[in-house]
Amino acid sequence: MQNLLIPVKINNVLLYFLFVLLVPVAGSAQTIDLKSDLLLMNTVAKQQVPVSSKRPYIFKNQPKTFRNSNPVSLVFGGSLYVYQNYFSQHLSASCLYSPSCSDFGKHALKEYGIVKGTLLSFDRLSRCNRISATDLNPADIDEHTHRFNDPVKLYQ
Amino acid sequence: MQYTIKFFFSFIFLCAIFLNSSASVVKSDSLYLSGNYFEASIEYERMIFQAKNNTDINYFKYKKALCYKHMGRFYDALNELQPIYFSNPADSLYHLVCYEQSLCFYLNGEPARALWKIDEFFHRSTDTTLFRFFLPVKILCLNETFQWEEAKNSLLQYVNMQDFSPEKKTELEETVLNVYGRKNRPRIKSEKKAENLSRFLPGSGQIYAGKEGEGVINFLINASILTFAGIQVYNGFYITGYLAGLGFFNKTYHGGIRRAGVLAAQKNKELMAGFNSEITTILLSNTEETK
Repeated sequence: MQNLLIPVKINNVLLYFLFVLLVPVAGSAQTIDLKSDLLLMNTVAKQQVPVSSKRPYIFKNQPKTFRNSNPVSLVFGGSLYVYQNYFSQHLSASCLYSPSCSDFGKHALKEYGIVKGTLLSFDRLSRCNRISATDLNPADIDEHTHRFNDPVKLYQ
Repeated sequence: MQYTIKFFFSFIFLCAIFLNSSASVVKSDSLYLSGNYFEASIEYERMIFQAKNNTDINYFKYKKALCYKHMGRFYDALNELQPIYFSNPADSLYHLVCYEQSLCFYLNGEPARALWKIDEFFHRSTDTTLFRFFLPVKILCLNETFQWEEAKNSLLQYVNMQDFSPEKKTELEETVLNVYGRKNRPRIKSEKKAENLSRFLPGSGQIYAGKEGEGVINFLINASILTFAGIQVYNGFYITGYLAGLGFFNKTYHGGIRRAGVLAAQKNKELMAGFNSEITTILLSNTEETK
């Protein structure tokens, strides 16, 4: 009898270990952790508060060169900044595309210079209307912005 | 001693069956518990595909939805939970699915639908002890939909459901009544009122919504465009006046109305986040460990 019990005593440790390890794994599946859910709700509610941030100046954080500090660049860059931050929100029209036409123009001028940038901006403005919208591919709609994806890099 | 041995043999027997038949469940559950929610969701998807009965499918869908919830993909979580139907409300999974659905509706910015789900559960379920899990979500949803009296009553009901001493309960009830007092409630801006104000006088809706600067800019833009149109018509330039002037005025006037509504909604969102944060703090400090 003694000989039979010794292996059982040794195995008990292993069995206790198995019990402790497996029971929480099986049992944890169906519970409601109210505290962590409350914390999640608090965090998400704070994230959903709209943050009003200014859209940046076209040549922001760029080293001063003739290209970005001549009077023409300053006037047009400044006008674009004023339009994007103080004027566009008062217009009832909203852009079909993402990025918006003004952002597209800003990126195009930065990326391709004044000639190609201006031509691309005119092209985009001429495509931003209800008639052109009938010709767009619905598969290009961005699921977050709900607008047609039309970034500058498509026109390289 | 022999009973101990028998118990462990039974345990080993059951455990072996569990491990053998549900090795995948253990794998996906361990992925879930270790915080690898994306990998766990893929594993659960595989198990939904391989499941042979509706009970298993429902359970794996529920677990997959939990993975999405932890990843912050509340819309996807709802898509998993919505098709689950329980003909028997006594099903052990029913309250969990209803709870997660209502929570995900709230987190997805749809408090009215969360309330609808909670009401459905309260109506169908016979186990009133489970209501305390739903009450915090219900209170926050009622706040978001500005139903103050009902939110206050729900919070009082929640406090009464906790196992606190009578003194603490009285103290908490006073706190609740104070928080929901007329003075302490957030002053909600009416979107319709903001829009109507802007319709009557451009810019006034924005001022009502708390953005004075934007209101003044909107008024100046509208006034200057209208002046331009008037001067053009007065001087005989009818086409410029009507098309360029009034056409542009139409855009800024209606844009201002829409913007006033948006600003009022944003202000409300900001106010509600602050108020709900206060309520959540009360709930957190007075919620027992319910795991």
